[in-house]
Amino acid sequence: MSLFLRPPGAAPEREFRARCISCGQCAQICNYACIVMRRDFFWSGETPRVYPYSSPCFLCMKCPEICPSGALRPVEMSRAGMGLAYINTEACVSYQARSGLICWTCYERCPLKFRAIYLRQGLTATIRPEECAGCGVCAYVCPIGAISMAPSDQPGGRAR
Amino acid sequence: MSLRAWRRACRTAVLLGCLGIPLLNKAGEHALSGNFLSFNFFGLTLADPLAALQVWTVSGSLTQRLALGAGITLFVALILGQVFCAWLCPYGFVSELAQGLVSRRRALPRSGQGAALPFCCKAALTVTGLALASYVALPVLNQLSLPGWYSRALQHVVLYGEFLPGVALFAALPLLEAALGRRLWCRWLCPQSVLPALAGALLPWRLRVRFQPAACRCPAGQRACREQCSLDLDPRAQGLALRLQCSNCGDCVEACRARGAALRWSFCARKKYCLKVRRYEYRAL
Repeated sequence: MSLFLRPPGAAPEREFRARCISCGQCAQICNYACIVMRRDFFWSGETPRVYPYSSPCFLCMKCPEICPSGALRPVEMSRAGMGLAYINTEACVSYQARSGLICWTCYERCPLKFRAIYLRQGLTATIRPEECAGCGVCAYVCPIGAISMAPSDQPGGRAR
Repeated sequence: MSLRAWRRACRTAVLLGCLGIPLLNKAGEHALSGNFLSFNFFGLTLADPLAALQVWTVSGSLTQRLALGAGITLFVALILGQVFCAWLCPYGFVSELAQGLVSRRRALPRSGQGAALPFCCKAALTVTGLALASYVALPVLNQLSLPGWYSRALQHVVLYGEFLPGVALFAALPLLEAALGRRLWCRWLCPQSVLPALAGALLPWRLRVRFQPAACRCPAGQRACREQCSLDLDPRAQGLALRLQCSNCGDCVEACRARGAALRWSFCARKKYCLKVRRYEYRAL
């Protein structure tokens, strides 16, 4: 169980921890500095994490290519499997008919445009769970913080 | 330039590399990346064999890249012995400096030479660590990799501008070794040196320090070579214990050069070849 996102292509959490040797190559190759090496406790070593609210993953997919141990595996962008985005419909202005506002920021900035987020009835941004890679770009750009991220191994949870 | 100066220059370059490579990565250059647990050298992966063994033990499989990287490291150890410890390891450099500074002032009595007990201690720690890694499903022995710690700490400083919390524990170790005048970690504890040592003991004709008693000019009771060995080994006691522990640093070879050159680096194991090499070298002198 994790309360943060793993980089794209990460193996299931238990296997990921077993395979990651803390070489840090994924963090070093990340052009957007969104992968941070952090540890849980002394013996676990530093493992890569993504904190989507401060620096989301832009799915350049370089980190799975360089990982030598198989903790990250090369996959397609749509199968990155980092987590899942949730839109709080009570906070999102597009869902509030009385607000008179339409905001498509998440829809426009999603790296998997038209696939992971689509416009329901041409108006409200909606997540398509089976397509969402969990990169966190939508949560990062949302001007009112109406989108939360949950790691792939913890549906319903919320990443820090 | 003496061998020791070459070795220090080599290790200083490695330490500077630990700092410079993350800086290059930060600037967008990724031909070199990683640390002492796994290193990417222009697309070729080099890996700590113990890290690879742990991944295999814990997860039951190994990627081709990690297996190849660990294989290259072991192959180097197979041919050249534990040269990593003497010529590249940043902790060995710090430890040697710390011990050298103190032992000049206060010579301590040295432990028994040539015994394999220190290696057995390291091997026991490694086996215990592997069993623990399997039990908790984490590569825990990577946390005992001091070169790994040093390179990771520098990575963190460059990439995130912060110090790893555990690094203070390992920074204190050279001070402890300096106080005791012994290289405790490298000789008794370092689990990362066990697999290269075992690989290096396999081939009889790998590069190692060989002793020719007939050429030794030291008077009885004088052992300049042994005094120079930072690991407290006796290079004249040729045997499995020495093969498992000698890191091919060359300090004994240099000390012996002016005393008959009875200690020499050589690949050959058979006596007649050694004699041929010696005759040729003496002619050259």
